[in-house]
Amino acid sequence: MSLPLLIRWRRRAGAPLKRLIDREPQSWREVARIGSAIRHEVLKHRTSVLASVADALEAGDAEPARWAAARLFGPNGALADLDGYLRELDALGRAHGVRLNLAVRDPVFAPLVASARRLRGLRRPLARARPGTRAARRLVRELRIVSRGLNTEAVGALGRLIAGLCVLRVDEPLLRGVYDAVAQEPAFREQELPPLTVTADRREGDLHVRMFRSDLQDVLANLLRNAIQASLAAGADGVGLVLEVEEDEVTALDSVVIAVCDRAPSKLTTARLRGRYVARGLGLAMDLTNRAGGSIRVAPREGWAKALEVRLPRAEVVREPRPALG
Amino acid sequence: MAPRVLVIEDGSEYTESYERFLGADFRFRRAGSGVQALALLAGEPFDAVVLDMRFDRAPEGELLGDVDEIAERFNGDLVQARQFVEDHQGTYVLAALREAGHALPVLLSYDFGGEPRRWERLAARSGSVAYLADEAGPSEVAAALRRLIG
Repeated sequence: MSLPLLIRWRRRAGAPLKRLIDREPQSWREVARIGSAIRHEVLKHRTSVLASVADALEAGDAEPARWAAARLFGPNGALADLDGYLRELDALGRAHGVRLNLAVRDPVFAPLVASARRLRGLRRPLARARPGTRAARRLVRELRIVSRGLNTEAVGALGRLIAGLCVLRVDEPLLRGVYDAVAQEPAFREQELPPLTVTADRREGDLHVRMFRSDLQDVLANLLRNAIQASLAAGADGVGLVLEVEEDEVTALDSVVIAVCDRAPSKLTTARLRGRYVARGLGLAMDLTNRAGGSIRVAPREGWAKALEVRLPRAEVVREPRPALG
Repeated sequence: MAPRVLVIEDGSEYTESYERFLGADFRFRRAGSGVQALALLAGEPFDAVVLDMRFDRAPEGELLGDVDEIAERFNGDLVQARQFVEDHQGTYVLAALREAGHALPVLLSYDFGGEPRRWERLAARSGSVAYLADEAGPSEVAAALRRLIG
Protein backbone atom coordinates (compact mmCIF):
# COMPACT_ATOMS: atom_id res chain seq x y z
CA MET A 1 0.00 0.00 0.00
CA SER A 2 1.38 3.44 -0.90
CA LEU A 3 2.13 5.88 1.92
CA PRO A 4 -0.73 8.33 1.14
CA LEU A 5 -3.17 5.42 0.95
CA LEU A 6 -1.84 3.99 4.21
CA ILE A 7 -2.27 7.36 5.92
CA ARG A 8 -5.78 7.67 4.55
CA TRP A 9 -6.62 4.12 5.58
CA ARG A 10 -5.30 4.69 9.10
CA ARG A 11 -7.35 7.87 9.39
CA ARG A 12 -10.54 6.09 8.31
CA ALA A 13 -9.87 2.87 10.25
CA GLY A 14 -11.87 2.19 13.37
CA ALA A 15 -15.53 2.07 14.26
CA PRO A 16 -18.34 4.36 15.40
CA LEU A 17 -19.68 4.12 18.94
CA LYS A 18 -22.62 2.00 17.81
CA ARG A 19 -20.23 -0.88 17.08
CA LEU A 20 -19.14 -0.89 20.73
CA ILE A 21 -22.73 -0.79 22.01
CA ASP A 22 -23.73 -3.57 19.60
CA ARG A 23 -20.80 -5.76 20.65
CA GLU A 24 -21.01 -5.03 24.36
CA PRO A 25 -24.55 -3.84 25.17
CA GLN A 26 -23.68 -3.51 28.87
CA SER A 27 -21.32 -0.66 27.98
CA TRP A 28 -24.30 1.68 27.48
CA ARG A 29 -24.14 2.83 31.08
CA GLU A 30 -20.50 3.96 30.79
CA VAL A 31 -21.24 5.54 27.41
CA ALA A 32 -24.12 7.47 28.99
CA ARG A 33 -21.94 8.56 31.93
CA ILE A 34 -19.15 9.87 29.70
CA GLY A 35 -21.62 11.48 27.27
CA SER A 36 -23.35 13.27 30.17
CA ALA A 37 -20.02 14.44 31.55
CA ILE A 38 -19.03 15.95 28.19
CA ARG A 39 -22.40 17.65 27.95
CA HIS A 40 -22.33 18.95 31.50
CA GLU A 41 -18.68 19.62 32.37
CA VAL A 42 -17.31 20.66 29.00
CA LEU A 43 -20.14 22.16 26.99
CA LYS A 44 -22.67 23.45 29.50
CA HIS A 45 -20.17 24.71 32.06
CA ARG A 46 -17.51 26.13 29.79
CA THR A 47 -18.12 26.50 26.08
CA SER A 48 -21.63 27.94 26.49
CA VAL A 49 -20.04 31.41 26.90
CA LEU A 50 -18.62 31.51 23.35
CA ALA A 51 -21.54 33.43 21.85
CA SER A 52 -21.32 35.99 24.69
CA VAL A 53 -17.56 36.33 24.09
CA ALA A 54 -18.35 37.08 20.43
CA ASP A 55 -20.99 39.65 21.47
CA ALA A 56 -18.52 41.37 23.81
CA LEU A 57 -15.81 41.46 21.17
CA GLU A 58 -18.21 42.92 18.69
CA ALA A 59 -19.14 45.57 21.27
CA GLY A 60 -15.46 46.48 21.68
CA ASP A 61 -14.54 44.47 24.77
CA ALA A 62 -11.68 41.97 24.32
CA GLU A 63 -11.25 41.08 27.98
CA PRO A 64 -13.86 38.24 27.97
CA ALA A 65 -11.99 36.69 25.02
CA ARG A 66 -8.82 36.45 27.09
CA TRP A 67 -10.74 35.19 30.09
CA ALA A 68 -12.42 32.51 27.93
CA ALA A 69 -9.07 31.47 26.46
CA ALA A 70 -7.80 30.73 29.95
CA ARG A 71 -10.83 28.52 30.65
CA LEU A 72 -10.79 26.69 27.35
CA PHE A 73 -7.12 25.89 26.77
CA GLY A 74 -4.25 24.54 28.83
CA PRO A 75 -4.01 21.45 31.02
CA ASN A 76 -7.20 22.20 33.02
CA GLY A 77 -9.16 23.72 30.18
CA ALA A 78 -12.38 22.50 28.65
CA LEU A 79 -10.64 21.05 25.60
CA ALA A 80 -8.19 19.05 27.69
CA ASP A 81 -11.15 17.64 29.62
CA LEU A 82 -12.89 16.78 26.35
CA ASP A 83 -9.77 14.94 25.18
CA GLY A 84 -9.75 13.04 28.48
CA TYR A 85 -13.37 11.92 28.05
CA LEU A 86 -12.72 10.88 24.44
CA ARG A 87 -9.73 8.84 25.63
CA GLU A 88 -12.02 7.18 28.19
CA LEU A 89 -14.39 6.15 25.38
CA ASP A 90 -11.45 4.84 23.33
CA ALA A 91 -10.26 2.82 26.32
CA LEU A 92 -13.77 1.46 26.87
CA GLY A 93 -13.83 0.36 23.22
CA ARG A 94 -10.40 -1.28 23.47
CA ALA A 95 -11.46 -3.11 26.64
CA HIS A 96 -14.18 -4.78 24.56
CA GLY A 97 -12.06 -5.36 21.46
CA VAL A 98 -13.46 -2.43 19.46
CA ARG A 99 -11.10 0.16 18.01
CA LEU A 100 -13.18 3.32 17.95
CA ASN A 101 -12.63 6.19 15.56
CA LEU A 102 -14.96 8.81 17.00
CA ALA A 103 -13.27 11.73 15.24
CA VAL A 104 -13.97 10.41 11.77
CA ARG A 105 -16.53 7.61 11.85
CA ASP A 106 -19.04 8.54 14.51
CA PRO A 107 -22.07 10.64 13.53
CA VAL A 108 -22.41 12.19 17.01
CA PHE A 109 -18.77 12.69 17.96
CA ALA A 110 -17.19 13.55 14.59
CA PRO A 111 -18.92 16.98 14.34
CA LEU A 112 -18.14 17.62 18.03
CA VAL A 113 -14.45 16.81 17.52
CA ALA A 114 -14.37 18.95 14.36
CA SER A 115 -15.84 21.92 16.25
CA ALA A 116 -13.39 21.40 19.10
CA ARG A 117 -10.52 21.34 16.60
CA ARG A 118 -11.77 24.58 15.10
CA LEU A 119 -11.96 26.11 18.58
CA ARG A 120 -8.39 24.99 19.27
CA GLY A 121 -7.31 27.06 16.29
CA LEU A 122 -8.71 30.17 18.01
CA ARG A 123 -6.34 30.01 20.97
CA ARG A 124 -3.99 32.75 19.78
CA PRO A 125 -6.68 34.94 18.18
CA LEU A 126 -8.64 34.87 21.48
CA ALA A 127 -5.61 35.71 23.58
CA ARG A 128 -4.60 38.59 21.27
CA ALA A 129 -7.99 39.88 20.18
CA ARG A 130 -8.12 43.60 19.35
CA PRO A 131 -11.64 44.89 18.82
CA GLY A 132 -12.39 46.70 15.59
CA THR A 133 -9.75 44.92 13.54
CA ARG A 134 -10.38 42.61 10.61
CA ALA A 135 -8.92 39.74 12.67
CA ALA A 136 -11.44 40.43 15.44
CA ARG A 137 -14.33 40.38 12.99
CA ARG A 138 -13.06 37.05 11.65
CA LEU A 139 -12.76 35.77 15.22
CA VAL A 140 -16.35 36.80 15.99
CA ARG A 141 -17.58 34.85 12.94
CA GLU A 142 -15.53 31.81 13.94
CA LEU A 143 -16.75 31.96 17.54
CA ARG A 144 -20.36 31.95 16.38
CA ILE A 145 -19.76 28.96 14.10
CA VAL A 146 -17.97 27.01 16.84
CA SER A 147 -20.60 27.98 19.40
CA ARG A 148 -23.36 26.64 17.15
CA GLY A 149 -21.37 23.44 16.53
CA LEU A 150 -20.68 22.79 20.20
CA ASN A 151 -23.48 24.41 22.16
CA THR A 152 -26.41 23.70 19.88
CA GLU A 153 -25.58 20.79 17.60
CA ALA A 154 -23.26 18.71 19.82
CA VAL A 155 -25.36 19.30 22.96
CA GLY A 156 -28.48 18.18 21.08
CA ALA A 157 -26.82 15.17 19.45
CA LEU A 158 -25.34 13.99 22.75
CA GLY A 159 -28.71 14.43 24.47
CA ARG A 160 -30.43 12.33 21.80
CA LEU A 161 -27.72 9.68 22.01
CA ILE A 162 -28.07 9.35 25.80
CA ALA A 163 -31.88 9.45 25.76
CA GLY A 164 -32.02 6.65 23.18
CA LEU A 165 -29.68 4.25 24.98
CA CYS A 166 -31.24 1.01 26.18
CA VAL A 167 -34.88 1.98 26.42
CA LEU A 168 -37.40 -0.79 27.04
CA ARG A 169 -41.17 -0.45 27.01
CA VAL A 170 -42.84 -2.28 29.89
CA ASP A 171 -46.41 -3.33 29.20
CA GLU A 172 -48.97 -6.06 29.74
CA PRO A 173 -47.86 -8.22 26.77
CA LEU A 174 -44.29 -8.24 28.11
CA LEU A 175 -45.51 -9.36 31.56
CA ARG A 176 -47.82 -12.03 30.14
CA GLY A 177 -45.03 -13.23 27.86
CA VAL A 178 -42.75 -13.88 30.85
CA TYR A 179 -45.52 -15.77 32.67
CA ASP A 180 -46.22 -17.89 29.56
CA ALA A 181 -42.53 -18.74 29.21
CA VAL A 182 -42.29 -19.78 32.87
CA ALA A 183 -45.49 -21.85 32.53
CA GLN A 184 -43.83 -23.78 29.69
CA GLU A 185 -40.83 -24.78 31.81
CA PRO A 186 -40.53 -28.58 32.43
CA ALA A 187 -41.30 -28.19 36.16
CA PHE A 188 -44.69 -26.61 35.42
CA ARG A 189 -45.69 -27.85 31.96
CA GLU A 190 -47.76 -30.79 33.22
CA GLN A 191 -49.30 -28.98 36.18
CA GLU A 192 -52.42 -26.96 36.59
CA LEU A 193 -51.06 -23.54 37.40
CA PRO A 194 -52.70 -20.89 39.53
CA PRO A 195 -54.60 -18.45 37.32
CA LEU A 196 -52.78 -15.22 36.44
CA THR A 197 -54.26 -11.76 36.98
CA VAL A 198 -52.55 -8.78 35.31
CA THR A 199 -53.44 -5.28 36.43
CA ALA A 200 -51.85 -2.36 34.58
CA ASP A 201 -52.34 1.31 35.40
CA ARG A 202 -53.03 2.80 31.97
CA ARG A 203 -53.52 6.38 33.19
CA GLU A 204 -49.80 7.06 33.05
CA GLY A 205 -49.35 6.29 29.34
CA ASP A 206 -46.48 4.21 28.00
CA LEU A 207 -43.97 3.08 30.59
CA HIS A 208 -40.29 2.78 29.74
CA VAL A 209 -37.24 1.77 31.74
CA ARG A 210 -33.53 1.61 30.95
CA MET A 211 -32.89 -2.08 31.18
CA PHE A 212 -32.21 -4.93 28.77
CA ARG A 213 -35.30 -6.88 27.84
CA SER A 214 -33.54 -10.15 28.69
CA ASP A 215 -32.54 -8.82 32.14
CA LEU A 216 -36.07 -7.75 33.03
CA GLN A 217 -37.42 -11.06 31.73
CA ASP A 218 -34.89 -12.90 33.95
CA VAL A 219 -35.90 -10.87 37.01
CA LEU A 220 -39.63 -11.42 36.51
CA ALA A 221 -39.21 -15.09 35.57
CA ASN A 222 -37.37 -15.70 38.85
CA LEU A 223 -40.03 -13.98 40.92
CA LEU A 224 -42.89 -15.68 39.03
CA ARG A 225 -41.23 -19.09 39.31
CA ASN A 226 -41.04 -18.68 43.10
CA ALA A 227 -44.63 -17.42 43.31
CA ILE A 228 -45.97 -20.34 41.26
CA GLN A 229 -43.92 -22.91 43.19
CA ALA A 230 -45.05 -21.51 46.53
CA SER A 231 -48.69 -21.39 45.37
CA LEU A 232 -48.60 -24.99 44.12
CA ALA A 233 -46.96 -26.21 47.34
CA ALA A 234 -49.50 -24.40 49.54
CA GLY A 235 -52.48 -25.03 47.30
CA ALA A 236 -52.94 -21.26 47.16
CA ASP A 237 -55.06 -19.74 44.46
CA GLY A 238 -53.88 -17.18 41.93
CA VAL A 239 -50.75 -15.28 40.98
CA GLY A 240 -50.88 -11.57 40.19
CA LEU A 241 -48.79 -9.12 38.21
CA VAL A 242 -49.43 -5.45 38.91
CA LEU A 243 -47.88 -2.67 36.82
CA GLU A 244 -48.05 0.83 38.25
CA VAL A 245 -46.18 4.11 38.64
CA GLU A 246 -44.92 5.79 41.79
CA GLU A 247 -43.79 9.40 41.93
CA ASP A 248 -41.01 10.77 44.09
CA GLU A 249 -42.23 13.93 45.78
CA VAL A 250 -38.93 15.77 45.82
CA THR A 251 -37.35 14.97 42.45
CA ALA A 252 -40.66 14.39 40.57
CA LEU A 253 -39.03 11.30 39.09
CA ASP A 254 -41.22 8.26 38.49
CA SER A 255 -40.55 4.66 39.30
CA VAL A 256 -42.15 1.84 37.37
CA VAL A 257 -43.38 -0.73 39.91
CA ILE A 258 -43.99 -4.33 38.87
CA ALA A 259 -45.44 -6.35 41.73
CA VAL A 260 -45.44 -10.15 41.60
CA CYS A 261 -48.15 -11.28 44.03
CA ASP A 262 -49.29 -14.61 45.43
CA ARG A 263 -51.41 -16.01 48.25
CA ALA A 264 -48.99 -18.58 49.64
CA PRO A 265 -47.73 -18.08 53.19
CA SER A 266 -44.08 -17.04 53.29
CA LYS A 267 -41.33 -15.93 55.67
CA LEU A 268 -39.56 -13.90 53.02
CA THR A 269 -38.76 -10.34 54.07
CA THR A 270 -36.94 -7.43 52.48
CA ALA A 271 -34.17 -7.85 55.07
CA ARG A 272 -33.69 -11.49 54.04
CA LEU A 273 -33.57 -10.43 50.39
CA ARG A 274 -30.98 -7.74 51.06
CA GLY A 275 -28.97 -10.08 53.30
CA ARG A 276 -28.99 -12.57 50.39
CA TYR A 277 -30.50 -15.32 52.59
CA VAL A 278 -32.32 -16.39 49.46
CA ALA A 279 -31.98 -18.85 46.60
CA ARG A 280 -29.57 -18.10 43.75
CA GLY A 281 -32.35 -17.04 41.37
CA LEU A 282 -33.54 -14.30 43.70
CA GLY A 283 -29.96 -13.17 44.27
CA LEU A 284 -29.54 -12.83 40.51
CA ALA A 285 -32.79 -10.86 40.28
CA MET A 286 -31.47 -8.51 42.99
CA ASP A 287 -28.19 -8.01 41.09
CA LEU A 288 -29.96 -7.28 37.82
CA THR A 289 -32.32 -4.71 39.36
CA ASN A 290 -29.42 -3.15 41.23
CA ARG A 291 -27.51 -2.73 37.98
CA ALA A 292 -30.55 -0.98 36.48
CA GLY A 293 -30.69 1.44 39.42
CA GLY A 294 -33.73 -0.23 40.94
CA SER A 295 -34.72 -2.44 43.85
CA ILE A 296 -36.81 -5.39 44.93
CA ARG A 297 -38.71 -5.40 48.18
CA VAL A 298 -41.28 -7.55 49.90
CA ALA A 299 -44.47 -5.66 50.69
CA PRO A 300 -47.99 -6.38 51.82
CA ARG A 301 -50.65 -5.87 49.17
CA GLU A 302 -54.39 -5.98 49.59
CA GLY A 303 -55.93 -9.24 48.37
CA TRP A 304 -52.60 -11.09 48.40
CA ALA A 305 -50.44 -12.80 51.02
CA LYS A 306 -47.35 -11.01 49.74
CA ALA A 307 -45.94 -9.07 46.82
CA LEU A 308 -42.39 -8.77 45.58
CA GLU A 309 -42.16 -5.28 44.17
CA VAL A 310 -39.60 -4.52 41.49
CA ARG A 311 -38.98 -0.77 41.27
CA LEU A 312 -37.14 0.67 38.29
CA PRO A 313 -36.50 4.31 37.37
CA ARG A 314 -38.94 5.32 34.65
CA ALA A 315 -37.36 6.64 31.47
CA GLU A 316 -39.35 9.52 30.03
CA VAL A 317 -39.31 9.07 26.29
CA VAL A 318 -40.11 12.08 24.15
CA ARG A 319 -38.76 10.97 20.80
CA GLU A 320 -39.01 7.55 19.25
CA PRO A 321 -36.54 5.43 21.23
CA ARG A 322 -34.02 3.14 19.65
CA PRO A 323 -34.92 -0.47 20.52
CA ALA A 324 -33.30 -1.78 23.68
CA LEU A 325 -30.17 -3.71 22.94
CA GLY A 326 -29.63 -7.24 24.22
CA MET B 1 -30.60 49.01 41.76
CA ALA B 2 -29.47 45.83 40.00
CA PRO B 3 -31.41 42.71 41.04
CA ARG B 4 -29.57 40.43 43.47
CA VAL B 5 -29.22 36.86 42.31
CA LEU B 6 -28.05 33.94 44.43
CA VAL B 7 -26.24 31.30 42.35
CA ILE B 8 -26.28 27.89 44.05
CA GLU B 9 -23.65 25.63 42.51
CA ASP B 10 -20.94 23.34 43.83
CA GLY B 11 -18.30 24.87 41.55
CA SER B 12 -17.90 28.49 40.52
CA GLU B 13 -18.25 28.24 36.73
CA TYR B 14 -21.70 29.78 36.48
CA THR B 15 -21.03 32.58 38.94
CA GLU B 16 -17.80 33.55 37.19
CA SER B 17 -19.47 33.57 33.77
CA TYR B 18 -22.48 35.53 34.97
CA GLU B 19 -20.39 38.11 36.82
CA ARG B 20 -18.27 38.61 33.72
CA PHE B 21 -21.07 38.88 31.17
CA LEU B 22 -24.06 40.02 33.22
CA GLY B 23 -22.35 41.88 36.04
CA ALA B 24 -23.60 45.25 34.78
CA ASP B 25 -27.26 44.21 35.06
CA PHE B 26 -27.33 41.85 38.06
CA ARG B 27 -25.45 41.40 41.32
CA PHE B 28 -24.45 37.79 41.86
CA ARG B 29 -23.59 35.94 45.04
CA ARG B 30 -22.58 32.29 45.19
CA ALA B 31 -23.60 29.54 47.63
CA GLY B 32 -21.76 26.23 47.34
CA SER B 33 -24.60 24.06 48.64
CA GLY B 34 -28.21 24.08 49.75
CA VAL B 35 -27.08 24.44 53.36
CA GLN B 36 -25.04 27.56 52.52
CA ALA B 37 -27.90 28.93 50.43
CA LEU B 38 -30.39 28.62 53.29
CA ALA B 39 -27.96 30.41 55.60
CA LEU B 40 -27.44 33.25 53.11
CA LEU B 41 -31.15 33.61 52.38
CA ALA B 42 -31.87 33.88 56.08
CA GLY B 43 -29.72 37.00 56.34
CA GLU B 44 -29.83 38.77 52.97
CA PRO B 45 -32.53 39.70 50.50
CA PHE B 46 -32.29 38.23 46.98
CA ASP B 47 -34.53 38.72 43.97
CA ALA B 48 -33.94 35.33 42.36
CA VAL B 49 -31.95 32.12 42.52
CA VAL B 50 -30.04 30.27 39.81
CA LEU B 51 -29.83 26.66 40.92
CA ASP B 52 -27.61 23.94 39.47
CA MET B 53 -28.88 20.35 39.48
CA ARG B 54 -25.85 18.15 39.93
CA PHE B 55 -23.68 18.63 43.03
CA ASP B 56 -20.88 16.09 42.80
CA ARG B 57 -18.29 18.40 44.34
CA ALA B 58 -20.22 19.46 47.45
CA PRO B 59 -19.03 18.06 50.79
CA GLU B 60 -21.14 15.09 51.90
CA GLY B 61 -22.32 16.86 55.03
CA GLU B 62 -23.79 19.70 52.98
CA LEU B 63 -25.92 17.59 50.67
CA LEU B 64 -29.65 17.72 51.36
CA GLY B 65 -31.66 14.48 51.28
CA ASP B 66 -31.61 11.43 53.54
CA VAL B 67 -29.14 9.02 51.90
CA ASP B 68 -30.12 6.13 54.21
CA GLU B 69 -33.77 6.50 53.30
CA ILE B 70 -33.02 6.89 49.60
CA ALA B 71 -30.87 3.73 49.71
CA GLU B 72 -34.16 1.82 50.06
CA ARG B 73 -34.67 2.44 46.34
CA PHE B 74 -31.36 0.80 45.52
CA ASN B 75 -31.60 -2.44 47.51
CA GLY B 76 -29.87 -0.68 50.40
CA ASP B 77 -26.88 0.40 48.27
CA LEU B 78 -25.53 3.58 49.89
CA VAL B 79 -23.15 4.35 47.01
CA GLN B 80 -26.00 4.46 44.49
CA ALA B 81 -28.10 6.47 46.94
CA ARG B 82 -25.36 9.06 47.38
CA GLN B 83 -24.96 9.29 43.60
CA PHE B 84 -28.72 9.83 43.24
CA VAL B 85 -28.71 12.61 45.82
CA GLU B 86 -25.78 14.32 44.04
CA ASP B 87 -27.37 13.97 40.60
CA HIS B 88 -30.71 15.42 41.72
CA GLN B 89 -29.51 17.75 44.47
CA GLY B 90 -31.06 20.77 42.75
CA THR B 91 -34.55 19.41 43.40
CA TYR B 92 -33.72 18.77 47.08
CA VAL B 93 -32.44 22.34 47.43
CA LEU B 94 -35.55 23.69 45.69
CA ALA B 95 -37.82 21.73 48.06
CA ALA B 96 -35.82 22.96 51.07
CA LEU B 97 -36.06 26.60 49.93
CA ARG B 98 -39.82 26.36 49.58
CA GLU B 99 -40.19 24.51 52.87
CA ALA B 100 -38.22 27.29 54.59
CA GLY B 101 -40.69 29.82 53.17
CA HIS B 102 -38.47 31.32 50.45
CA ALA B 103 -40.89 31.98 47.60
CA LEU B 104 -38.42 33.89 45.39
CA PRO B 105 -38.16 32.86 41.71
CA VAL B 106 -35.80 29.98 40.94
CA LEU B 107 -34.11 29.37 37.61
CA LEU B 108 -33.01 25.73 37.40
CA SER B 109 -29.90 25.08 35.35
CA TYR B 110 -31.08 21.73 34.07
CA ASP B 111 -32.68 20.98 30.74
CA PHE B 112 -36.10 19.47 31.39
CA GLY B 113 -36.84 19.53 27.64
CA GLY B 114 -36.54 15.74 27.51
CA GLU B 115 -38.68 15.26 30.62
CA PRO B 116 -41.84 17.34 30.04
CA ARG B 117 -44.00 15.25 32.37
CA ARG B 118 -41.51 15.60 35.21
CA TRP B 119 -41.16 19.34 34.67
CA GLU B 120 -44.91 19.87 34.63
CA ARG B 121 -45.26 18.25 38.05
CA LEU B 122 -42.21 19.92 39.55
CA ALA B 123 -43.32 23.34 38.31
CA ALA B 124 -46.87 22.80 39.57
CA ARG B 125 -45.71 22.47 43.16
CA SER B 126 -42.68 24.74 43.24
CA GLY B 127 -44.10 28.24 42.77
CA SER B 128 -42.17 30.59 40.53
CA VAL B 129 -39.69 28.41 38.61
CA ALA B 130 -38.21 28.13 35.14
CA TYR B 131 -35.44 26.06 33.63
CA LEU B 132 -32.54 26.69 31.27
CA ALA B 133 -31.91 24.64 28.18
CA ASP B 134 -28.46 23.05 28.16
CA GLU B 135 -27.27 25.24 25.33
CA ALA B 136 -28.21 28.47 27.16
CA GLY B 137 -25.43 31.02 27.44
CA PRO B 138 -25.28 34.12 29.66
CA SER B 139 -27.63 36.17 27.44
CA GLU B 140 -30.35 33.51 27.73
CA VAL B 141 -29.79 33.43 31.50
CA ALA B 142 -30.29 37.20 31.65
CA ALA B 143 -33.49 37.00 29.61
CA ALA B 144 -34.85 34.19 31.79
CA LEU B 145 -33.99 36.07 35.00
CA ARG B 146 -35.71 39.23 33.73
CA ARG B 147 -38.84 37.23 32.90
CA LEU B 148 -38.83 35.60 36.33
CA ILE B 149 -38.15 38.75 38.32
CA GLY B 150 -40.63 40.74 36.25
